Amino acid sequence: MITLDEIKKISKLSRIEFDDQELKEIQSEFRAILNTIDRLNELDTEGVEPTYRPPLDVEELREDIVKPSLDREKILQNAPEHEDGAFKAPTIVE
Amino acid sequence: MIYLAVIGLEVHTELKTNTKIFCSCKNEFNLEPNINCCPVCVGMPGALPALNKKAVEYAIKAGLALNCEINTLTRWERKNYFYPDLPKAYQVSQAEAPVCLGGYMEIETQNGPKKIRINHIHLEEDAGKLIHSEYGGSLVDYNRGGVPLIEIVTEPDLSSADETLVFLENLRALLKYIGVSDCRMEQGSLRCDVNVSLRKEGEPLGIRTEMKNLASFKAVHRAITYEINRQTEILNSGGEIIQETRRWDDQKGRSYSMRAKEDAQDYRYFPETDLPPVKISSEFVRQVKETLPLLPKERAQKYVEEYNLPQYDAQILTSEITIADFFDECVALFDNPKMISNWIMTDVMRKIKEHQTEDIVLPINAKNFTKMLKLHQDNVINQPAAKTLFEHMWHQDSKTDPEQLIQKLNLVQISDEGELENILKEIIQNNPAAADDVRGGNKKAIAFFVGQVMKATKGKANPKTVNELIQKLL
Repeated sequence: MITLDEIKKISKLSRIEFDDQELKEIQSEFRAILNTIDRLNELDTEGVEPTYRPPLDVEELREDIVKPSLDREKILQNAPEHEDGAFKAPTIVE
Repeated sequence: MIYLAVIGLEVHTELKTNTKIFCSCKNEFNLEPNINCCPVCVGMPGALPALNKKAVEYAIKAGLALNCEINTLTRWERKNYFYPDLPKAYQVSQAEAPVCLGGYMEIETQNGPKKIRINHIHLEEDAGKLIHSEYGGSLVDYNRGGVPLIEIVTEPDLSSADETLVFLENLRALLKYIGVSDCRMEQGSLRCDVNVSLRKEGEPLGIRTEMKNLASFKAVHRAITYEINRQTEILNSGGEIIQETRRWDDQKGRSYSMRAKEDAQDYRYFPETDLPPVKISSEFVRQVKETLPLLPKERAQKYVEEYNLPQYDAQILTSEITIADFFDECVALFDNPKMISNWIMTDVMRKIKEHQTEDIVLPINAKNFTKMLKLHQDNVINQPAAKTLFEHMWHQDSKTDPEQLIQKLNLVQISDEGELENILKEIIQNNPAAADDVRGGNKKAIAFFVGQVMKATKGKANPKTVNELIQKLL
């Protein structure tokens, strides 16, 4: 059972803010989702390798050959702010 | 109370591939921001990563050089955190099935050889770089974002700052040897986080702290020494160590706690489904193994066996690949390994130490260097002249043929007996007392005459001929 504290922790880690009412709603939705997912645990997966995609052979990987990058203008096009060719972010405090 | 220090390392090394790890943008150290970027490495929605084969190959290469086991199936995870250097808000890394497992590197310590175990080596993408703007705010450059990194994680097998330094120096030399990284700390292509804890003899491990922002090997050494002292003081005064990440301030020579406990990072690793797991066949590993050069130890052994060099000399010559390659080049041109080794061990090494930079740069080439040695061996120039010539070649002119240089610098040895005899006769005439001393068997007086002849010939006289002449005339 997911607790309010866990929801708060996850929202903090995800940088999403909720008021108390929203938190309660999220909690019940969260429960419903987790219950659905929990049903998968009823399957016996003993001895089955986790497979979310079929693997690729190392020989099939991309060759190390340079291709042109995107124009910087295009790279910065959607940035809310940029300066001297760099994205601008609020001051970062360690 | 004396505590034992327990030290473990996480070493990040940028790989020297042509392209980034998940896109075909150029992998280069560049000061102009955001010019090697594309939708993949700036994290635009919908952009899909394509793994660089070379990066996997280099990780395997590092693993083989460090005696690791190579995973037959390697997988990718997302490490989630919010920071502007990470445009996707997650870093693609490896947790469950890294490329290399286990392994070790042997280092020399005061108590003999010691194996430092490697826990694993994994591949990941580098983050972007933040620069502070003079107008406030932070500027973000993603040229470095997506550059392939390997993280080498050791077991906590190191027990002092000195030992850690030896390990890092050996590791750097090894990675440069196998050509997977430049390992330039000042450009950030080699970075290292250090975990330190203390324990009493026979007791379990203590609580550890992690130190970040170590920009040089010297800083690593200072930070470890500082941290051991700090923890010792806390424990001795009955306090407790807090598990935390600390930031080293090299200018102030102290570290600061970076994050309080309640903000402890939770990276919420989960599978990166944009990237398929990669199967690594034993055939591929075998092919990579074939590209490995002789490693320092094997190469030193070869020098001892083939060239009859002392073990110590062979070890010094092979400690850096630039030096070892130079030695090999010289030996191929001039068949006197002992003489080449002696000159490299003394004069060349001294010059390198004088201009200490992270990368060893040799201004002289093997062709002219060995020509100089040959001139000396053939008695065309004597020892002091050879040293003068070497200095000149190193600092001023490494291009001109030494045969021409010795003419230009007037260094050719005088071996002509007639000429030397005349010079010596004059000196004997002017120093009758010293001449009597020699006749009386005074060895010091012989040295006096040799010195005087050298002075008169500006150091160019053949010392052997001069000695013979003194014997003859007195």
